Amino acid sequence: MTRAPAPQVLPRPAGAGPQVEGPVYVITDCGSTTTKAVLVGRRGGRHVVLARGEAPTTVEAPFADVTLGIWNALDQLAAASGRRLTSGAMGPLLRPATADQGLDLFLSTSSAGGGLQMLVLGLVRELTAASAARAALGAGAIVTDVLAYGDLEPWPLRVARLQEARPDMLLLSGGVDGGARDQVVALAELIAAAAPATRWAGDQRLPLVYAGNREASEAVTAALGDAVELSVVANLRPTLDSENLEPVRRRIHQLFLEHVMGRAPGSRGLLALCDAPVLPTPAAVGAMVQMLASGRRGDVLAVDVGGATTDVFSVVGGRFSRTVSANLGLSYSILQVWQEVGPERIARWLPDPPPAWMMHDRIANKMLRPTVVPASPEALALEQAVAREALALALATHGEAIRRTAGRRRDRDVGEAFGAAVAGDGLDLSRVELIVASGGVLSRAPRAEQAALVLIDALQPVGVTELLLDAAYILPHLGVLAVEAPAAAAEALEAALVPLACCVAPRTADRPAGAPLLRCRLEAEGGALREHLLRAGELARWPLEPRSRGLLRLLPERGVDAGAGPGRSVEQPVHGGVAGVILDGRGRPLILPEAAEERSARLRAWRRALACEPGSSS
Amino acid sequence: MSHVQQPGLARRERIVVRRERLLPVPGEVAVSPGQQLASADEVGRAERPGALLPVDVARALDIRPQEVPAAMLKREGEPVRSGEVLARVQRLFGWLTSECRAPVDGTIAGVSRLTGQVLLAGPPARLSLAAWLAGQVVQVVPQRGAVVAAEATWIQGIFGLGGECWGALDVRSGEPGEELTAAHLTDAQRGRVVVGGGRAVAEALVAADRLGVAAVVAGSVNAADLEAFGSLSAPAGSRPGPTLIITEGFGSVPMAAAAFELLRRRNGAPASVTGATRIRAGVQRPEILVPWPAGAWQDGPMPAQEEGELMAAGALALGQRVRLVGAEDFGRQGVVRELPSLPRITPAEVWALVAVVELAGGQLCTVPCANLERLW
Repeated sequence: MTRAPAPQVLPRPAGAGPQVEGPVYVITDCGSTTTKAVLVGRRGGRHVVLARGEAPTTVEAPFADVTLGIWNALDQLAAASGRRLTSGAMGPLLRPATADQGLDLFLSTSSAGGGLQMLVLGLVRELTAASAARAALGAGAIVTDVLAYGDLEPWPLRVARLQEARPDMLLLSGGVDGGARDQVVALAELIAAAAPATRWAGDQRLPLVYAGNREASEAVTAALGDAVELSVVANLRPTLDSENLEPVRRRIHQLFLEHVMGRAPGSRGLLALCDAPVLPTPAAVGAMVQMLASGRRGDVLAVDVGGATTDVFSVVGGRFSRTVSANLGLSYSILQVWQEVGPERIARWLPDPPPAWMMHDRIANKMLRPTVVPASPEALALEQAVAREALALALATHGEAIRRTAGRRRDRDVGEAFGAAVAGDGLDLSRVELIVASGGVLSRAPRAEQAALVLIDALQPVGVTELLLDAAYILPHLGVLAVEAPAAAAEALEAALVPLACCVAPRTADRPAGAPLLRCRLEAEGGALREHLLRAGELARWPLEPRSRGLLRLLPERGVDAGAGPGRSVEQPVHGGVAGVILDGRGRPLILPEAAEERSARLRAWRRALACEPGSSS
Repeated sequence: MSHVQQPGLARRERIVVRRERLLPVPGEVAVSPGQQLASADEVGRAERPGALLPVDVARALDIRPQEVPAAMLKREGEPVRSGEVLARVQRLFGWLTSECRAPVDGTIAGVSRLTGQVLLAGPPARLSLAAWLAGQVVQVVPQRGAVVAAEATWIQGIFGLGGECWGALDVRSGEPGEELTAAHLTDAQRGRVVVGGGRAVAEALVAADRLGVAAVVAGSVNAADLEAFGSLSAPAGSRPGPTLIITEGFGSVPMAAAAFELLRRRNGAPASVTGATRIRAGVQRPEILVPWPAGAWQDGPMPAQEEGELMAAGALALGQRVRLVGAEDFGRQGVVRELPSLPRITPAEVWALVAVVELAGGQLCTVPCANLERLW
């Protein structure tokens, strides 16, 4: 059995001690349930994550002070690293670092208290409103609603949505520079009349970022009056063919710090501790995904299955995208996954599914008590089944978003004029060469093979795909570190992600079970040679140690696509992983047998092949 | 590393509770400091602005936006009736007249010379805020409402549906594990806060709705029954029918004996109940408040106390009474007998800090601390 790192147990890393070379960075991420702290420093000439600690986030009542969770997490971090970081139980931080205590730079990300929630407005839902949503998502926000001038929804309903939304911020866009003006002003007039409020108590006005037609900005300012706190930035769609998201992203981050972070209980204490601006957690993760994609030829996909949301990031053809499925999560939102997909789709992943009513009760109880851990194999299997469905739905949403933007790019003039959704290429999984995964359900999976199988079942990669696990949820920390010390962040990133597996999955259709698909040959570093004839319906595994390499050669049968096109052979170097090289002949799309008995038998066989069952040995 | 468990839910026989009763928009406050209030007494009243509807007058009259103000027959702030003429233009020396009529009753909220649109605000909705908690006004918040305080029995639930209501407590089950069925409910329960011990079955929920029961309080309910009855994700107050509060969770779980006993002791007393529940970003639990009548306690009124202290999570201790809240053995209760200092591996191969818990009957089981909840 191969074990993934277990973040809830925080032993001191082998060889770790208080001695660190060069600057010492301590970074926290205040999540909605857990505050995670890491210590990054140089050892043996390279920057690495030296230790980590975590504690429950304390933004909610009865504590209502996010810094309490930070001090607790730092306490755990000090214990794990053997390095004193504070002079007392509740600070202050010991600065600067000496050889064996203290730190030089303290940084943080935050999604505590529900993160940054934004409502965006544009003229055409598929165009300027979609660009605004992309800008907000790219800045790390959760987009709670999108209102478009061109929608057919009755105006009173739209106004009611504005009044009831209570977001942290509004983003208003619309019209290219010199283009549509009156419609943007009309939206501004409606906002002023609706007088929307923030979700925070008090008299502070709701921040609104205007990033639309610059020739309308004066009229928009006049129309909005005192109803909101207005910031005007450069148009995010200055022309039909270009987007300019950076100015709006920067302004959103500023407002996040001033208004959202400033309002969450105890956040002023956190801001005072930090040596650089606090980033929204997803923004920091996005920065790291882009860093991982730089220098690669293929596309990169990253998924984060959280308690409340599932985030999907991608870099497709060099273009970064992020989507948030706000109602798909494994704790707070687990019931919504159940309601969305229904009992059959959850049960289909369980070899011995309990009655639907029992699954329903268990899932509802997990929603009520989000930090409960699955202690029995049945509870674990149920949670992982829900994770498969949440991931699959989130990926579909992401693919759809990419399809829309891709289509708009090509047929922008037609699309802009008629507001039509134009088809595009979407996310082609055979072009994705790297998948990075994070989220408690994956990183806390007792066996790496379970995490790998959840990912493969849900995302169904095609061809040869490397799977990395952000087991310690380190991407947010390194993302904010990258702003201050990019070289240190890049170096630490390389060592921090756990190589999970290399997945080999040909695309096939209508091959009977047992039919030959692919001759696979792996020449591992050191000369060991393995060969296997992969058959339809089969799941197999070769061990190949993490960070070791091998040369993979695939000879597909006629009509079978191993990533280079039907019948074309593939030869490429691959990296090993905790779960080795996984050969997946189950077909794409993966279709499970309808008959319960046959499906259970298949599921058991696949779990056996990957040694996923508790108590089994690989 | 400490053995931290789930925060327990607050259950107190006697505590001073304070509840803010605030209007969602500024309005008129109807109470004064020191005043004694019954649940139904009005604390304040206000008018919520009506829905906004834009009317494209420029397009309707085929004129330029900047000509709209001159064409208006009504001014900002003026009321209009549905069908009434809002704006008029005359062409060809008065031979042709174009008119734009109001599509609904409302008030002119704005006239735009930039877009040529007129914003009509629908009739305002009147709001009246009740005291809900019977008690004394301890603070008046100008234009918004008041803070009401009362000495009360306070029981939090884990999950609720429906908004605020009040009525006499009516404990229908004889013991904490007895299910609440339709047979427990008759016309006599109309307007009451009905209490069952164990699970409230689907038929009981339907009967409560039919009979006009104010609220149902029970240990548990099946999630599927609840979904069929209402909607788990419906916002508080948006669902018709009785308010529902469950104290333990989903499934078939008896109410914690201490909570049941508290409710049983206050049987017949007027109770204030809210099903409002928020699980994250400002956790809010449903609650049952049963005020004590003046002079009920011989030692006089008790000093105010921080409610928050009761809900805090803390380190587990030997001898502590706990409830199992993991999927395995959900709802069973026991006493902490051992707290190993090192993590142990569970049957699912998850490493976790655990407690050894003695269940009823003397059986010992090892449970992750995260799957334990403190019992009060």
